[in-house]
Amino acid sequence: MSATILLQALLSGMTNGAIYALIAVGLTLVFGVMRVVNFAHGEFLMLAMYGGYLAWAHLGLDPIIAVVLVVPALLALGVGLFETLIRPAMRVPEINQMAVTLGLSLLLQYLALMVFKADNLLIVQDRSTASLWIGPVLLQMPQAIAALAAVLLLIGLYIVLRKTDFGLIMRAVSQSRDGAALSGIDIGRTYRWAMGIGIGTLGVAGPLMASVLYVNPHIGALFTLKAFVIVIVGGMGSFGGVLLGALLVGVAESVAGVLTTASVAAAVPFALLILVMLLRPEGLMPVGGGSRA
Amino acid sequence: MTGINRREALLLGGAAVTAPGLFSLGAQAQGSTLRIGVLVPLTGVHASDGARMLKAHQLAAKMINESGGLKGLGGAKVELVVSDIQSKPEVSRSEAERLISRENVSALTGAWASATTIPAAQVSDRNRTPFMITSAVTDAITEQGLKYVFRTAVKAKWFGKYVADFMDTMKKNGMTIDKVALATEDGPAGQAVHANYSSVMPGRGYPIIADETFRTGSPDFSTVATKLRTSGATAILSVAYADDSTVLLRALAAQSFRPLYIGFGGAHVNQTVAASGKPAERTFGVVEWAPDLKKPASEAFVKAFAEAYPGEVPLSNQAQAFAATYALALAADAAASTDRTKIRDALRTLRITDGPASLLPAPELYFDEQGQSPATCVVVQVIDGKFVTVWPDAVAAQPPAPLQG
Repeated sequence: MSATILLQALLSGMTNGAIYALIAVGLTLVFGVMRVVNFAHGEFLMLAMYGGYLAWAHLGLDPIIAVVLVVPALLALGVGLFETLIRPAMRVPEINQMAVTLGLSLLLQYLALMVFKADNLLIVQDRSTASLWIGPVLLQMPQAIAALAAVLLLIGLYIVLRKTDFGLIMRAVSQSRDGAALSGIDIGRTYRWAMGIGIGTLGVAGPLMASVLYVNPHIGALFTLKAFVIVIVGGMGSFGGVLLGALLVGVAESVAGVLTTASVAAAVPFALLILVMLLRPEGLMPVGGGSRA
Repeated sequence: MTGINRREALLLGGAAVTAPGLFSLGAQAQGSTLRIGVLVPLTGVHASDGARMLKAHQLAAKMINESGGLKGLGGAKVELVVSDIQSKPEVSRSEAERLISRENVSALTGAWASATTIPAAQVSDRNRTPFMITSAVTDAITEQGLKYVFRTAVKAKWFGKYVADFMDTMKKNGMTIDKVALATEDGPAGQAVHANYSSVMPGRGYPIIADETFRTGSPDFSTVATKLRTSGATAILSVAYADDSTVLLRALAAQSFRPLYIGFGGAHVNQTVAASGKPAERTFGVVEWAPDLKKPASEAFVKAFAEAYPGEVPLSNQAQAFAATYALALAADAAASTDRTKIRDALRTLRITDGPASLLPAPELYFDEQGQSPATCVVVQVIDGKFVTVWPDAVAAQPPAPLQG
């Protein structure tokens, strides 16, 4: 095995990692603020991908521009999800919440199957096969665009959460719901926005991923499990943890694919998950600096 | 309520007991009916495949009946006894038993996947009932000395030979093919073909210099593509589902690496792959039948299919199901009997060179002493976004187009 291939695996792994982070960040935001585990996260990604496809196929919009339309749509879906299903579900035990989001995930898959049928849909552009060469290795253009968008989105979210009053409120609710309520923060409103933004981030990921891959009703499932691994490895609710976890998962599976077989490489993220759960159950970058109580 | 239901049930039961007797009396008076049991998965994971297969079986029966039935049996009609095997091997076994013992069918056909076909084959052989297999490719089915089992499909291990034959033709046409790379998915289908290619290719002068496996549903193929490109291979043989085919072909195109590319089977020869545009253009696929085959029976089948099911273009396995149903009817016709063993004996001597049943690419349809037909494959190429049959010459719609177009 040559150095070129290893270098390529590293670069591809980092690109994939950035894309995984783009998908997982909404999941960790929702969990961090609301303590709700959303198993339907991947299905909202699937809907966002269909959004990107439809904008390209029927309106002739470039997926990068489609993001401007799909983000508000997903944000509205997130708020709607909170008001209809999650708000009532927050008053019942956590296991019931999981059942609700799991049920929603299956429902959305079958609805998509009815509306869009099972066949793959593709966004075909000149850019689909373009590439950026960096010395002997390369980045495929659609992947590079998605990874760049991931970095920009993460920086944007970081600034919002760290530097604005809105972010301060989010962090306050995340640290102590009762404390925040006592300080006069409207918890319901904060939750609504957390869910809206958590799902809304998929509006960026969806159209860009649709141009990297293909769209079908089951594509969300390809990413849901990986997103959960990333969130748990990084530390549930942790922002920096998502980036670290995603890069780790992306690079580990890519390099393992070069060093061993595809079947082994597919198991690597889960082996990583087990290791982290055994050695650092709170995750690599837990919320609150990692001091165990 | 219960009383009525019971009475109804009794009535229905009585009818069920007496009706077959009445029916067969009537049938004998005007020449008997040929009852063929059709094992198809209409529910479960293979439901969509089963529904497609059934359409082809039904079209064959309809065409036979509309053209006057079976002459050798006094104009007898073909009657299909359809059974849903639920995509499950154990249901396939019990339904085969039921069709043979209760429904009194003269022959069976079906049963989609190898996993659901093998148990039904054992049941039919034990019960001395001919079973015409449509689409299962596992080698062993026609290598175990079963006396009542026949197959229209290709053996899995023949694919490597056809692909090598095709590459020989391309070499003769001036293309350089010296080193081969394999790119296969890590599931059972991918690995079965992988084993076949690995054993055949080196002996045919095509050494395998790179061997990549990947997971179905991989989000990124750039590293696999880099390994294929840097291996120095002049041909890539892949086994992948349509999703991964698209992503792999894009990754290869992004690296401007466009060698001879041959995808495998119906999973690759799928319009969504051709729709990916430039990356798929001029790539090849090996498959058991294609709708543009230049053969009168094949063209007639496509036309009849479009009339019976408007807007639908048949796929390779549907052509096999059509030929299977026809072959059973022709054997009963030749035997002038609905007796199971007489039909079996007639299948052994049947030789079909023309007529609707000759739609498969092999010049002749017959069954050797193991029940295997001399089925062949065709090679299709994506030309202007469509799959076109380009090999073998005898049935090709046009010759192969150059790789760079």
